[in-house]
Amino acid sequence: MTSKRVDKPIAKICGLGFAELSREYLKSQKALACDAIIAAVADAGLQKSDVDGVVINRSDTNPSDDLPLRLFDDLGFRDLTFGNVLASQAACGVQMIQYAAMAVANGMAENVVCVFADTPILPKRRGGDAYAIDLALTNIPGWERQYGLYGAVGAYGFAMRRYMELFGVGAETFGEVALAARQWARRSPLAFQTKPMSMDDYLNSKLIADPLRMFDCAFPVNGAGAVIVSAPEGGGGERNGAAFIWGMGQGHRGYLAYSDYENETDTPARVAGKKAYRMAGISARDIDHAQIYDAFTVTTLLGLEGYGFCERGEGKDFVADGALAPGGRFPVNTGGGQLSGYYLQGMTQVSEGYLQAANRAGDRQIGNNGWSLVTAQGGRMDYHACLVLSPEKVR
Amino acid sequence: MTEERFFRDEQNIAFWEGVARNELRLKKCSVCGVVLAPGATFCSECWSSELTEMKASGYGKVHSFVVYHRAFSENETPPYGVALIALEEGPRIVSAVTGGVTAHVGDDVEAVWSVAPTEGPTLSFSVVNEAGWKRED
Repeated sequence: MTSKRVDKPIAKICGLGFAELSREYLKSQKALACDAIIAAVADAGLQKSDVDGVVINRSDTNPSDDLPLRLFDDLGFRDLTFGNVLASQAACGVQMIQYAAMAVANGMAENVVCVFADTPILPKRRGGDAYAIDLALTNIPGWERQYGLYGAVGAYGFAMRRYMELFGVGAETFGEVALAARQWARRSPLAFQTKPMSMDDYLNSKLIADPLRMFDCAFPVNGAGAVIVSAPEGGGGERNGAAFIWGMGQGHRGYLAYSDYENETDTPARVAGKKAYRMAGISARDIDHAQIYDAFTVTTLLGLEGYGFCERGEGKDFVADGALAPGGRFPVNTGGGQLSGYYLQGMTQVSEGYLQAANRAGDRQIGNNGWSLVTAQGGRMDYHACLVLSPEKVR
Repeated sequence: MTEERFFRDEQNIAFWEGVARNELRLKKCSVCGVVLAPGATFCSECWSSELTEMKASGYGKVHSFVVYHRAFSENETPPYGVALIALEEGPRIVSAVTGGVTAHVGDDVEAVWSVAPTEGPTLSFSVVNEAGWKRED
């Protein structure tokens, strides 16, 4: 590891805006993205003319033309000094913040808008089906399709089964994760799934790809979220508060389906976390609360292990007895996460991480608000990115 | 998904001919010796493109396993199992486990070839009893 410890924050997140989140198709990805950008700029207390950078995180669920750089036309941007579309899957929700932070830290831009928009729900497509795509391991087109292996639920079902059987974990452990997310969702005005959930409700929820149940899955919505990234001094956030970025890391791998490579239960989140902690000059033990990418309950467990909050295979004990829930030992996904809040890929964790670190989380605000971690991942747990945040501008 | 379920692409015709002879053909790197997926065109370990073909023994272990309770296409009738099989040579492939829908990580399995590709995939695996692999060598 060669990253150095920083003695001041790299950048800050200083504004957040959403388009309307919905379970129906209301408008295009591009239109949603514009709504979120306009709201975020206003939230930061900035003007259109203050924005000189735009980074777009495109979802894989729709064709790339649905969220193009042409967004600049609609918003009437001219003379931007920084702009790009990122497409390394859902890790981009965090990655775009990192690139924006590097840009403002190095003078390439002053105020960068980072936006994610998605419409998994189309007039003729249910949300879950958007992610139901083939998973090719043999490199022989057509092989996997013969067996009816479809997309995310298959890949994450494999991870869940292997995790359960390697480490002696029962369904209740995943239930703990789902229940904690639901309890937090009940405190968040943004969350969609707010009905109380008991362990029996979890265990009785419909099996999709056994052992994976409906309540193990994220809750897809159409919508968009945007944040403003500025240099620690200047920029926006004077009115509504800022979260300072002290550490950033990524960890990536090829999914190697041969020999002893363990893809399902050991992820390069490890690599991303080490990098970010070192940059911030802290360790996992210093983190007070975290927003961990939770497209499935198993990803919360693997995230907690990968980012060093417990050892590999010890997630079961770590999450027991409501540890992640309100009032628990280690608050996680305090807006209900993707499981019970809303699934906007990496933007779910980014938005909540910002609100918490900026002390804007209302009824669910964590009092012990020192260092916090925000994570995102893409692929089959192949691409990881994280941020270390703090409300403090100085150490 | 309306694409043909038993799609056979032209590029991998030798592989599919192997399947028709009840053979699963894998790739082996001549330089570093690692055994790779059937469709590998060069070695992802040492980047050599000197690959040879080899026939899989048909023995392996269950790496993981799911049972779909929801149909994502009209081709499948739930519940049905899909397994990730770790072949003894090294590569993992997607397949099915015969005889019901229960299997466990680490179960020893052996290949079972069927003759009716219109009824289902030709290759699946059956769990071998506790005595271990029924190898005849």
